[in-house]
Amino acid sequence: MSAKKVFQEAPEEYVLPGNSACQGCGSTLALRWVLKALGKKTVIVNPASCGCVYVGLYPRTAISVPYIQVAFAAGPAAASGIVGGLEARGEKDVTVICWAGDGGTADIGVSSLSGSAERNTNYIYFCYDNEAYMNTGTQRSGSTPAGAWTTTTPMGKKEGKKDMALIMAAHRIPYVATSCSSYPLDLYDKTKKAKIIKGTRYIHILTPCPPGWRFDTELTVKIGRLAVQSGMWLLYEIENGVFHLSAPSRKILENPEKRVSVRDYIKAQGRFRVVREDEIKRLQETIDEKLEKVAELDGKPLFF
Amino acid sequence: MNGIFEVRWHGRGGQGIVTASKILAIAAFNEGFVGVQSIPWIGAERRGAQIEAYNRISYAPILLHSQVYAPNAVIVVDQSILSENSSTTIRGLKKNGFLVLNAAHSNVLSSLRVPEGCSVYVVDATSICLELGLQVAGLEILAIPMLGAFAKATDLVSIKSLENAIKSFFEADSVKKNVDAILKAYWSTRKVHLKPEQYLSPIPPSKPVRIPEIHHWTDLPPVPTSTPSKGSIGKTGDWRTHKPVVDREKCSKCLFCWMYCPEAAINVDSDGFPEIDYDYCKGCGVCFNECPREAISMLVDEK
Repeated sequence: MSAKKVFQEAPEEYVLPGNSACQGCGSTLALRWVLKALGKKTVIVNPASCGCVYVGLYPRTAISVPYIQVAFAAGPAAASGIVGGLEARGEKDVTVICWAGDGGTADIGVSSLSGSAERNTNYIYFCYDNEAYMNTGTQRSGSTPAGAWTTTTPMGKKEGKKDMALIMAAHRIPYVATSCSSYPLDLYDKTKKAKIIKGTRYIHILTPCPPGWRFDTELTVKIGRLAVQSGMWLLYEIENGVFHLSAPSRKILENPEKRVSVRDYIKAQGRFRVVREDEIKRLQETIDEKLEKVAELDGKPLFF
Repeated sequence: MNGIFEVRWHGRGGQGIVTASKILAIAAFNEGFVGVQSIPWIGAERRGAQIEAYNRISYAPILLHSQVYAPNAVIVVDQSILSENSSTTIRGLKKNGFLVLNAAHSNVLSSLRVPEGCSVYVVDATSICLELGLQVAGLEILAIPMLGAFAKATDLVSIKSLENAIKSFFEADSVKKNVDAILKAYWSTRKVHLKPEQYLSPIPPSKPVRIPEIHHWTDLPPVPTSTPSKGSIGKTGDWRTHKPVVDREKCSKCLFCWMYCPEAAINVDSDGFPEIDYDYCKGCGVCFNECPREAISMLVDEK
């Protein structure tokens, strides 16, 4: 699907301009495309995150669908309540989504998220992953990759990134996918697919953040693309336990000459300035190994 | 100087005002002031949005820890903030205070109203930053030259102590650039002479507001609901330093710019060409970087 086709299909904007997101925000770009795919009959539940900032202050809001802000750990719980209420009222055409940051997903909100997935609550959980607590000025989260500078890890984070998408897949929910704000059409297609599935659906979106990752605002889309092209971030779907690579990631596996070295991705961002050359080399080796394994997994069930 | 000297910085996220307020505090301490404070404005971090930072300088230890409400000096780092709303920017400025501005346009200066006895100083910090290449992630660090202008205007801190503070704050290779910027600003700061009618007469204190008593839930106001609207925090076009311009000759109407715009500030006109909404475009430059035909160029925005 091309940009032109989507424009004819969904010209309506639900994220209105003049909001208070940073210049070049990857997260508003992602939310814009998610809402394009879901349409008007959507209820958003948003635990504390950058989303609480760009939605705006009373009496005006930048999002033109119902948007409920709740406490950090309570996103999936509040969404469960809304799903129950809508079911009791017999309203079947409303999609309930939870729009949470990586801190609200991987650290603080993980228990209620896991609970809702266990109950298979009928909603879509979106995690927009900017790899730290960006709203409060870049503090490390469970989703921050190793080597990244944050205000709480001034010499680079020692631990690796928590793989939330696989953790959610292990809950045996019907649909898990990863996407990136630099591939809006991929995100649009995956959200449309998720909309018609029943049960808990989880979509993890990598959204580059210019102030927190330390790069020029104009590079937001490019950095996300580098993450995918270098293999740092994989785009895939897990549908009823079966693993499928998405087109952008499959492309780099099938045509190795289209792959970008991980060095290009690391060097493009100021947050990785403390990473040493030998560490980059080791990272490249782990990614090569990972991609080999992923190539074997494609199209096969993930769990026994 | 008697009592506490209070400073309020106005700028946009990414222009270095929090860093500059820290440097000013260190410099004032080096200068011999015992009580110094540097306070960032508490709120969500947003690059390009209006933010504030505060300083307190005193010969005695300071026991006050709030934000600054009645400053002795106001430093406006971004030109567009003053033209947007000058009365909020200089709110609370004390009598005989200082207003230090970054190269304001002459029409802004002529419409300025300041409290009695205030002196206004102007320096062209933007050109100094551009000339010395004092930029981080594409943004000019305007707050550093403003330190030099502040030193010239108030005579509170010397260039020497600012230089020492910079040395303790930055890595060795970027010290020279910052010190040069401060020196350059110090020597190019000039005082602006205002007309007598531009000085405000003192405002009488306002009467306290009475809060209505609530006896029953029906006395409560209706449930507050936010309504969706464009520009929920105002015209974000003011955040922009460079503006994207579409060249219709080169444009192939692929709509990639529309697709990648994080702000949804690009509309499509009836001919299928992208049309940028300059009221809300924050000037991030994503469309410029993503256009496959290079039909979009970023030009310096003259506001």
